[in-house]
Amino acid sequence: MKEITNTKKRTVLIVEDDLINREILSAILSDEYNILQAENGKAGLEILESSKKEISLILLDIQMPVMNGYEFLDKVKLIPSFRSIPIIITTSSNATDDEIKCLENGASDFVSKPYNPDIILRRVGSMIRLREASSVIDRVEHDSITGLYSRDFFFINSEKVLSESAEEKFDIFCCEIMSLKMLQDRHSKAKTEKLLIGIAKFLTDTFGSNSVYGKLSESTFSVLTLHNSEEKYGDISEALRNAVKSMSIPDAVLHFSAYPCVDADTPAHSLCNRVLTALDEAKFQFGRQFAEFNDEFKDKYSRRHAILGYMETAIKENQFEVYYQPKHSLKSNTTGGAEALVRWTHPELGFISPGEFIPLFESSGFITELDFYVAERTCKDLREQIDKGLPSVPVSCNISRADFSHPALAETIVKIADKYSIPHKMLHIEVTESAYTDNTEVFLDTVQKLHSAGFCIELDDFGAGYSSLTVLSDLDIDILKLDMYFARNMGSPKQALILKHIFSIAQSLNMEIVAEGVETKEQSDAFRSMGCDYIQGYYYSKPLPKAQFEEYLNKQTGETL
Amino acid sequence: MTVAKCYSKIGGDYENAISRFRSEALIKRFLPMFLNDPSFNELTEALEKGDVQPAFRAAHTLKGVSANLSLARLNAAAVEITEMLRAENLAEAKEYFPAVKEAYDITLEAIEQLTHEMP
Repeated sequence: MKEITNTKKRTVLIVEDDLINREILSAILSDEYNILQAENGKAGLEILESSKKEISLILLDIQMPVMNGYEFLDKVKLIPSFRSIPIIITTSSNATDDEIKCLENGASDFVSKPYNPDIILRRVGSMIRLREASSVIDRVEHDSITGLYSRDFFFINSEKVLSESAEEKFDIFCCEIMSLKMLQDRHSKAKTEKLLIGIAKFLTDTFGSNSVYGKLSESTFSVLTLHNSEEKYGDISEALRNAVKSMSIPDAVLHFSAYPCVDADTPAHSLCNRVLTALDEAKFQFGRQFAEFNDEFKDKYSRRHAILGYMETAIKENQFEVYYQPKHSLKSNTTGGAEALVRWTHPELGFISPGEFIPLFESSGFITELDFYVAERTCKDLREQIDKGLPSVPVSCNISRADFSHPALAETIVKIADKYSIPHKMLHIEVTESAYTDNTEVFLDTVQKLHSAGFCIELDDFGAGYSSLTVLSDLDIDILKLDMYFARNMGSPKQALILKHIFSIAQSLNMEIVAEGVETKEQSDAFRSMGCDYIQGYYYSKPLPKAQFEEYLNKQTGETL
Repeated sequence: MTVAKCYSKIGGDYENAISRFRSEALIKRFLPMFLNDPSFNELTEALEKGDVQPAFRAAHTLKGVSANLSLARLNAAAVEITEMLRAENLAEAKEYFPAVKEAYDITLEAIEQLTHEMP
């Protein structure tokens, strides 16, 4: 609220034809305010135009030659930046009709002649304070640069429009400037602001005065407009992109999305969510600048929603099953371990691929609960195998990068293992490099705790994405799991060289290596020749449900016996 | 002549003026400005021409200025003629005009005298 407490002298504009009246007002106010004077409405408007930002209040006479007070009010009303300046009418008539007419036309208050300095100072002072307090609100209501609605007020006003026209269909259009902060660094604040204003102008020119405009974020614009089947949002996006080329930052990159033909009963914020989801789609696909939230998108989106909606029940109803994929030991030529993998068959949606639900759970945070669930099921199954005297191998469980925000991750894993009295060496923990890059300190600390507690640490997906060798030296890793990328791209001499070095580093650091995604004998033989320790993949076995996995282990023991 | 005496001579309300302006200095600053105030002459001209709207506007201004300077007698006359002109009753206003002129002349003369005596 610094505008209200700062002590800078405010400026008051006096619009009044009679010099004496102006001088008297000016004498009353000049101790506390800077005074500008105009002898009629027209002169007043000219002063407003040249110094509107400085004027805090207008004192306006009604009866004036050239342009009277009513005409002045009418003009001021039409210009948004003038509209917020409070106007006090100076009246000498007892004709309250005049006063009411002025108030109806946008005046804020009136004072009557003869002027009483106390009353005038008080009215002027409180009106300015009121206006400045509400302009703080106004600034939140409107984006200060473009004048478009701020996020919340875009929702409120969209909601209003939607509810007033329940029978109509609407389109919502969005666009975002890529890396606005970077643009601001590279160019200037003034140029960036010009760009924002330019885009806002393009949008308001294109969609007209009956649409609702918003700034959803510093760099995101939104428009809610009546549905027009002629409107091709891809074309509008293209036109805007071309228009930007002649704006202050011609190389600014924009992404666009639209959600056309929406029923008025859809809440404004969910419209925005959907159009923003489409915007993400446009952003994350290279070379794509426009995405439409159409039926296909809608299906995908509502499926995501359904999956997230079902997850809690799914865990309560034990819909998640743990499968075990054997890791074949090339040294002993038997199963040397297994990875616990989660499978989900939903009563309505059927089988849902982990590739689909795991990223969703990771972003919702639910993955931690699921990872603990899988760890617990694994320990329970291991306990059963041990108690029944069945053969058993160490089983690895996955810990998502998202789990590292759990305050007691290591302790919880220990607790789960101990609950079923599982020797810690029987439970392996698979972590990914991405978790290391997210929050190195927490990651190292947690892994260190788990390793000291006696769990084997496996580094999953090694070589995928941005691998860094520092993770190998920072971390107590027992087993390196090569990403399936290597199995799939066998044969390239360059890759053979890289693998050779990975193997040599791993061996010198006393790590064992698991090759994942091995599907053929050739791949398996190639890894064997490099000195690989374990093979995981369909070549030996697909992931098996508990009973089949036990059978698989049993059969092997039978064979070796 | 004191300011108070001037007010009493012209039928003005000195008490009102001093209560609003709080100092004679301010009154002394504004009163002489009335000598150059065009509203009375504008009213006179407009009435001669029979232009009711400019006459109304001028009367209205005169009413405002006289109120602001606490020139009670002149103000009372200005209020009267303003209402006649607001009702676009030109004939009645013309008939009433001498009363305004009389009040104005007395006022002007006294203020002129006061101004001359000012240091």
